[in-house]
Amino acid sequence: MQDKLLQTPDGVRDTYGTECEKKRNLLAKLHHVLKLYSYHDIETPTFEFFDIFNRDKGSVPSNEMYKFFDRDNNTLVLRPDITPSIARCVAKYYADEDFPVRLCYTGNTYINTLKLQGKLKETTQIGAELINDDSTAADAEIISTVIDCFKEIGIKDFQIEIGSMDYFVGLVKESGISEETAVRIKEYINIKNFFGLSEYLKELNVPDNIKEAFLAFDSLFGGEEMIDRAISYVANDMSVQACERLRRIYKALSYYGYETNIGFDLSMLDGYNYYTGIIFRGYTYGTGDAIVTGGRYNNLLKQFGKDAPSIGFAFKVDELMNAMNRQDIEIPVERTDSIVLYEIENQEAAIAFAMKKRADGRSVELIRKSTRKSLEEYVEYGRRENFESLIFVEENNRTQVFDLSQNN
Amino acid sequence: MRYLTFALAKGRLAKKTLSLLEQIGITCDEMKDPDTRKLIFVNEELKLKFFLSKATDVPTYVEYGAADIGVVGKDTILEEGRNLYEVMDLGFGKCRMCVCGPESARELLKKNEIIRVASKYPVIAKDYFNNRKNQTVEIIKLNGSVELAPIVGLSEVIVDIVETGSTLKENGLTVLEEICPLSARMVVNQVSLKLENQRIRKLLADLNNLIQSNEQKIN
Repeated sequence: MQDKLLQTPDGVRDTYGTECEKKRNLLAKLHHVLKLYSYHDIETPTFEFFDIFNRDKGSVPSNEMYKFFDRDNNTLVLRPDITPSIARCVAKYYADEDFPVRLCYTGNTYINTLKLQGKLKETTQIGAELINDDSTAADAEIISTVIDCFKEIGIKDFQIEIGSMDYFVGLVKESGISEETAVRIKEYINIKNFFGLSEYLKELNVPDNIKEAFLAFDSLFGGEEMIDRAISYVANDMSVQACERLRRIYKALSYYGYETNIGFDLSMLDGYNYYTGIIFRGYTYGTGDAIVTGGRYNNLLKQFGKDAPSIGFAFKVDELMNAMNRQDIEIPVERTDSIVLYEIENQEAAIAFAMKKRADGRSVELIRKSTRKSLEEYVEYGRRENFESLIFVEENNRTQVFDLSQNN
Repeated sequence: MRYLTFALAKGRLAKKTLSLLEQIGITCDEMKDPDTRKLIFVNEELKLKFFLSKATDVPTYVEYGAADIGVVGKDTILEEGRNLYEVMDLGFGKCRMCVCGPESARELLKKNEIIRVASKYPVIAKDYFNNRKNQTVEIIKLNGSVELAPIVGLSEVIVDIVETGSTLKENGLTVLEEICPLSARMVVNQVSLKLENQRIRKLLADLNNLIQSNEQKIN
C-alpha cells in the first residue's frame, strides 16, 4: 500500500534536486531575454472553459484534453496550450488598445496523449505573444527573440525553419480543388510523402502546372534563393504575397545579423489550427522534435471579439532540458555557500554569525548539531551536497572552518 | 561529422535494404557476419551506424530521434501512427492489407451488422471499418496466425497482410476486400531531415536514381 502511495500517474513526474534548480535557472535565463525585448508577464488560470480551446482556437483535438465539470455542469479543461488564454485576456483587458501589446508567460500545459508513451502529459512552456502588429518587422522581431533565447542558454547548433500557411492556401484557391482534396494533399506534404502525392495527383482533374506546383513542395526549402523558385510555380496573389513577406522578414533578420540561423521550408504545414501567416520551428540536436514552435494567428483574437493580428512562440522547456543534457551543455546551478554548525550551548553566537553572513548576501544552512552524529559526518554531508565550507561555532565565538570545495 | 543512424526492420526488409544501399556505395561489412552478436554496426568511413530492431519498433526509434532513418513496411507505419517523414517508397516487400474470411462472410460485410474482426493491426482495422465503411465492429487483437480465428470461430473475418494468398487458400479463406497496397518505406526523423539535410537528401537522391533505373531495366 505504501509503495503505491509513492507513485505518480503516467505522464507526470516530480522535478527535484539539481534538475529542478537547473530548470529554474534555464527559465530565468529565457525570461531575462523576453524582458530585454520588453515583454510583460501575465498569468492565466490552469483550467478554463472548454470553449476557449475548442476547434479553431485549439492546438489539440478534443479527446486529448483533460476535461471535467464544475458545480454548474460547465465543461472545464486543463489548458493544453497557453496562447488561447492570452488571446482571451487581450480581448478582455486590452479591448481598446491599438498599440502593440507584448506579453510573456511561463506555465504548465496538459495534454492527454494515450498512445505516445514516453512523452510527458504535463509539460512546462515559456513563451511570448506580440499583439496588434501585423508587420514583417514584428515577424522578424519574434524570430530574433527566439534566436537570442537559444544564444543566451548556450546552444550553438540550432536552426529556425520558417514556413507560410498562405502560400499553400493561395495555391489551393488558385487550383479550385475541393476542401477534402486539399486536406489530403496537405497530409501528403506534411509527412513528405511525395511519391504518394504524385500517385494521388495523377487521378485528379487539375491542370499540369498545378500538379507540378504541389509536387514542387518537395524542394521548397533552403535559403533566400528558394523564394524566387517558389514564386515561379504560382500565379495567384496570395502565394506571391506570402513569398514577398518571407523575403522582407529575411531582410529584417539580416539587420539583426541572424540570417545564418534561419532557413525556409514551405512544406511545413502542420502547425496549430489557429495559425494564419508565417509559422516557424526551432530545432537542435539531441531531441527528436522541435523545441520551439510559433507562428502568426491573425484570426484567433477575432473569435474572442477583438480583431487584432498577433504572432507568438513557445519553448518546450522539458524537451529543451533533454536536448541540452544530450549536448553536454552545462546549466549553472547556484550552490549554498556554507553550513554553520553549532551545539545548543552556542546557539546565540551561531545565530548572530549566520545572520551576519546572510546580511552580507551569503547563503547559509544553519544546523544544530545532533549529539548522535559526529563532526566528521557533517563534513561528509557538506561535501556530498556541494557546500563550499562548513563552519563549526564553538565556545567564546571561536570557529573551526572546513574548506569543502577541495577534493571534489 | 555526426553519425547518421539507420534502424532496419529485422528479416527480409533489412537484407533487401542493405543490398540497395550497397549498390549506392554504402556498405556495412560488420553486418554480413552471420554469427555476430553485436547490436550496433558502424561504418567509420562514412560515419554511419546501423541496427536491427523489431519492425513495430522502427517508427518509435525514428520518432524519438534515436535513429535518423528507418526502413519499415507501410503496414507498421499506419498501425503505429507516429510523427515522422515518409520520404520514399523502396518498391520491394509489396503486398496488400486485406479483409479476409470464408466466402460466406462476404454478405456480412455488406450489412451494417456488428461483426468480430481479428487482426494484428487493430488500428488499421478500426480505421477501415469505422471511418471508411461506417460499420460497427468488435476488434480482437491477435499476435500471430490470424488465419486461425475465422476457422475456429473466434471471429467472422480477419484483417491481415496478403502476399500471394496461398496460406488463405489452403485454409479455405479468401480476400473479401482490399484496404490498401503496402511496400517498404524509408522514414526519416523530422529534426534529422532539417539538421542533416544535405547528407540525407543526397542519400535519397542516389536511392531514387537507383530504383528508377532498376525499374527501367525490368520494363
